[in-house]
Amino acid sequence: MEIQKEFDSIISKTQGLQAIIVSDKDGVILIQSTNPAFTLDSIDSSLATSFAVACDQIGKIGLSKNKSITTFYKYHQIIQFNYHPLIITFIADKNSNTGYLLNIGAEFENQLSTIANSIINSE
Amino acid sequence: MLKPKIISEILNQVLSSSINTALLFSQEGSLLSYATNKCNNIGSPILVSLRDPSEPSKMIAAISSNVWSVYKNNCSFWFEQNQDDYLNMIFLDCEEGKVIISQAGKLLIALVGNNETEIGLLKMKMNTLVKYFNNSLQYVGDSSDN
Repeated sequence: MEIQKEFDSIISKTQGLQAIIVSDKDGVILIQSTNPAFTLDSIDSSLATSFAVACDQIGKIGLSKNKSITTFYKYHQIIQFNYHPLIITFIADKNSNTGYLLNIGAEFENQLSTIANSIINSE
Repeated sequence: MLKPKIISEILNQVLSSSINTALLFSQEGSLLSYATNKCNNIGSPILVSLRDPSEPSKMIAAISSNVWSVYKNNCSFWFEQNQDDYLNMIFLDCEEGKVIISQAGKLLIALVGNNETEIGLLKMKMNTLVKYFNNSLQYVGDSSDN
């Protein structure tokens, strides 16, 4: 799959980026790519469902639809993009370049629109 | 003793033409103090029509605290190899604005900016506020939380 290869190459090229996950709002993973040194064992569907819940609520703040949520932890940062009905999650080290990750995440919207549209049509 | 008027004045100092609201609230979502400027563009039309000018800020505080608790509580499941990993900051990018949330002592601070503001500026302003409030607010808030 073309997109899988692209994810792998982004991970190998981007310093500190550990994982890219494309899932739906229930946490069902469609595509994932990880750094060989990083394990996704502990990352379960709660990551995607937390985002879906948060996104829903943020929509009521009055700033229109939520595009992305970036969470900064002591050792990690998680960036999640809302491309309804898909969610893209980036897991990276705390020192990696947030602005760069936000930019590459935004570029995926067009590429994933075919998958997103086919999910919407099948619902 | 907390002086809400002074806290509001401090929050007011971070406001600019692109950052229009600064809030201080508890982890349960209740608003303690807030500052907004004239460029305020937050709040849906229904809220703006209400008489209480703090209404949009109250709602942002309630929603932000909820989002904070969701990401804070799940952290230990996601990164179990780093047990001391903890949540520092959350950045929300919306179509009509940006929000940044962080913790100072036991309370939370949120800054709301429009689309012209950049994440780096929001982070810097937030770090300065957190550093300033951290000492004075460490005894304020729910003691059972930490």
